[in-house]
Amino acid sequence: MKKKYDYVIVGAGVAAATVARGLLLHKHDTSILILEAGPEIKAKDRRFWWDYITRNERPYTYTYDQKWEAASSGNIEYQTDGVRVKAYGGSTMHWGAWSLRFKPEDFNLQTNTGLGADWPFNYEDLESYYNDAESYLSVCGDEKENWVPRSKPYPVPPFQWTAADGEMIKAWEQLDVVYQDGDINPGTSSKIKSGKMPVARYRKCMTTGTCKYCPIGGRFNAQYVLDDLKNDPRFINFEVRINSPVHHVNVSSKSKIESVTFTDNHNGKEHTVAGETVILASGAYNVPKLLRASKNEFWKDGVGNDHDLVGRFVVSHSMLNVVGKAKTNPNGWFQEYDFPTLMSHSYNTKEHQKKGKIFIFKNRTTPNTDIAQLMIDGKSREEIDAIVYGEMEVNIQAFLEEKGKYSNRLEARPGVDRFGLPQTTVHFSRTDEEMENANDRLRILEEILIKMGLEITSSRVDKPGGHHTTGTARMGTLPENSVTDKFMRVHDTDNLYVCSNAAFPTGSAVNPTLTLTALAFRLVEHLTNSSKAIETSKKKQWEYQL
Amino acid sequence: MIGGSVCNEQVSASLIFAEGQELTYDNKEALWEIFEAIGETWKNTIYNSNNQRSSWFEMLKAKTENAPNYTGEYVNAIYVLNELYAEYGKIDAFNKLFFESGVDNSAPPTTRLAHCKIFVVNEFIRMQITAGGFKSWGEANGGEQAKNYHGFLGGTRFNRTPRVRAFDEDPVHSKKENV
Amino acid sequence: MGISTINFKNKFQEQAFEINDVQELIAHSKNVGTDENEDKMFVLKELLNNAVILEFATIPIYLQAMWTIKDNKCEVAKSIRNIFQEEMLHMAMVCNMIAGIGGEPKIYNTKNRLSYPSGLPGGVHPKLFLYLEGLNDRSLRNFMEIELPEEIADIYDYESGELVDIGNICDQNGVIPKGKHDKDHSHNATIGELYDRINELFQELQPKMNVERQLAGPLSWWVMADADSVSKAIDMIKEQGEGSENVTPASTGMDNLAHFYRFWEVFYQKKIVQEGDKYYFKEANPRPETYTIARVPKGGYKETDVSQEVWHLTNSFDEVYTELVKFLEDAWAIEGRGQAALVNAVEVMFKLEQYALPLMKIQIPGQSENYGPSFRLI
Repeated sequence: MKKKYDYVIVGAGVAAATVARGLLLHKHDTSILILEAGPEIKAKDRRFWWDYITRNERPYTYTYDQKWEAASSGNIEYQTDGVRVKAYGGSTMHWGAWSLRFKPEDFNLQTNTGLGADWPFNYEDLESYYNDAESYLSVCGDEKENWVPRSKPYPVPPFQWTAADGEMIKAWEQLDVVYQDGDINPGTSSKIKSGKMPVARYRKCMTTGTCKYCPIGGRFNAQYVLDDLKNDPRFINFEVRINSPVHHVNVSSKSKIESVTFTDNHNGKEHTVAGETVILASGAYNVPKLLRASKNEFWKDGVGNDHDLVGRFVVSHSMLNVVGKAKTNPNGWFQEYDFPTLMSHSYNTKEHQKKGKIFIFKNRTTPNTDIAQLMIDGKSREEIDAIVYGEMEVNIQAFLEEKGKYSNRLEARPGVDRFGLPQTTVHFSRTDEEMENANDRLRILEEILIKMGLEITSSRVDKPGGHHTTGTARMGTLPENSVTDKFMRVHDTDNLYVCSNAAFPTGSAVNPTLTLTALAFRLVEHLTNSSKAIETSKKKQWEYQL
Repeated sequence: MIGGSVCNEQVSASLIFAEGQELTYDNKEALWEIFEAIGETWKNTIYNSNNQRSSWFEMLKAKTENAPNYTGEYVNAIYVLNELYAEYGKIDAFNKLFFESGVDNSAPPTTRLAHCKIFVVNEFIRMQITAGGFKSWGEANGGEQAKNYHGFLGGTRFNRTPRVRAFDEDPVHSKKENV
Repeated sequence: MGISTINFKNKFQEQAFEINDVQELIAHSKNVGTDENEDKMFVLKELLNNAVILEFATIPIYLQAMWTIKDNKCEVAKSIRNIFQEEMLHMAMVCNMIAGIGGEPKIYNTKNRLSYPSGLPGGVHPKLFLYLEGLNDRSLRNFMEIELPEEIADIYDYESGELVDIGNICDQNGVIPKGKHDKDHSHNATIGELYDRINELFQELQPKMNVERQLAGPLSWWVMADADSVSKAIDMIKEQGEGSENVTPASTGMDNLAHFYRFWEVFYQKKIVQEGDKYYFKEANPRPETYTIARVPKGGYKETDVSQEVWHLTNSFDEVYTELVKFLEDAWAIEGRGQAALVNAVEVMFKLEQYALPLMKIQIPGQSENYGPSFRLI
């Protein structure tokens, strides 16, 4: 390990991998050190895969926050246990890779509704980076769709709808999009439009259906990028250290970040390593905790925290969950893909923004019968047939956009987790109005299942799951209302960046990773100061070599 | 309760000791009989069990050449089976094992019989379904045969036939392709 | 595994090992020695290994032709991809046959070490030279030549009504001579003969097939449980490649034509239809846009001749290609990793594109054509 690097990056997930790759392709001998708190867990291992098939075990779940390592307070529980992988590769070890763009209105939430915040730039400013991200993640989408303005088609064709999707598609074709109390009614009517869920899968995907631990690396995993970078003989100054939690960012003056201090978990020794530029890419949970822990004479309440905003405005998605059942499943449908294929943005629009946008999709695991379990339970073939072709459950779900609030905050609490990182507590509450709006949205989903001829068996607004946590070091125009500027640089510093969901001012109604990846591409360009013209011609020649 | 003194011998719930042991050719043949019996019992063998054999064999290798080592469990299963064969004859032995074992599948196994059921039989069942046994469903009422399942390497979707039972978006113009 | 350390049971077996030419090997296989069954098994393994290498030899040239097509979703790309998948399947089935009788396929370190340009291994077609040159008239006509059936169906051009002749393969300078097809059927007879002889020996020997090391999965449909499944497999290999024995394209299905006819459709730029009992080249099947790559020189592009970036791409490609071949061998090797190695091989096949595609977009300095992968075994 050197004493000083061009870049020190904290965290080894998709943000770190994407930024490191961009910097290295630009200049091969850039010195970069990535510090990851967690261990490295082998991907594509045959034994791990067989244990997944036969015992439903996955090798990285032990790195999840356990219930005792995270808490929440407020009028609703914020779920942290089980949501993120603390390991080399980060949460892309287990993600479903649903890769959707934010929509133009997501960048102007405050202007449009008076709630939440605006991004310090617009969708158009990020659009070309979305193209880069989709190409790099290998997003499979329908080029005929026009949910968002796009200058390039998807790089790979979409996965087809399943036969079971068909019933919901037909129901949507008969249902008008409704505008509830609090929505803006555009005055024209349209039916709910069916879309194909864009997922990040390489062309080698063998539709194995064990996406959470893919045996052949069919689904993007930041590990693969990091491995390629480590193995590339051109990148001689690229290093990754695992089992190295960073717990302090050190400054030499108010604006100049000098180094980070980390612990080697193998022997407990502390090390300090300097970086010309430091990038925090350790996720919306760890970034705010690290900033606030980094107190010094220039930053009394932690780096970037002069206005006590670090960790505030935390949001994630809540899931709306409605389940219906039909008396029979004559085709004996069961789960065949491990990702949803049917989705709709019909309620993810500007008109629905104030009351609350929802992104609707058909849950991938229904209808389903666990045939193997029935055999294990000693059911005969006839009994199994009766169940497979008998009652059928369908689950329609939606992500509900939450709007950031000053009083909702993610912060450290006393104690460390098993990896040496501070434990977490999330203060999170919803207003009564928000709960009412959420319940109103449930009615929309119920109507769909009723149209399909199903009997509703459950309908609920789930607690927010921390999987899509954003906002805890949000971008904005001024230090008084944000933590980072429009290039994700911490306000009032010269060389400290946050490349993470933490920087998002709004959470939208869709998964954050594609947007994070686009931001990472944009950050690389900012850091390397390449003009767009040079970048484009270089890309034409060497398109996505790795 | 089925079986005799071997089946019902009390053992600890953790994996049976395996170090220093290797599966012999005969061991594998004996274990293969369990696999074939699964397909025969639930009548979901597609074409020929032999076509799943290489996958099954790979699973066995993965389970016995890495920690935690299953060799002890597999050898135990053969002892259990031998006693069941002796007591009930081959065909009934499997029926007893699959349908009347009395083992609680969600509790830690404390007898040799329970170990056999949980670590060997149940896992073989999951593997058998995943590797192709699932295809036996779908057609009972004139629907499409199931094409894919959690864990089944269906193949890339750039092949000419779909990898899942797909929704036909354009029924008027779609043509039937030879499978 | 030095060749000099192998001890042969008898002269027959030693000779069988030494013979490189397939025609000669087939002839030799008919002179079995005194230890009849053992000798037959030995020469059968040799014949099978020749078949493996023949099947595998076509894979690089089909792959690189497919990669030069810019739109990989177009019909022609799909068709060639499907052909490549079927060749992999044929290879896998032959490997299963070898494993079934206790042998292991050798692709990597062989006397007939694959390198391009090359003739078909085993001296099967002395006049045919395979170059890595992307998809063009010369390569397409070569592909047709590889899959050439003993008898070609009569197909007429719909517009002109004339019988379409397949013409000749190009000469060493890359020029396709004018004139009708010079029917020298000796090579395709050899490939067909090879499979026929393999089948004959299996039926004679009726060996107890070991299923333990055979693989069935995404690349390989079924295991060879007995001589009967071998026979079925060989019928399928021949039918998929050159068409059925009764010479009617429709017998495999018009949307499932044999490789020979599918290549011909791309070459002639028209699709084949059946009307009544006659076949016609009717609808337009335009050649898709491709990257024009230069013929990869003998021995491939050398480090000293190319830029650093190009060397990185072409060398990385060769490393991954070598990995692929080793995985394939490992999958069926006696002490091999079996299905696990096959899964690795499948994954690595896609990794090849990562290096091949950017390479094919780079223009060779001073020339109008681009680079292409060298497929060197390292």
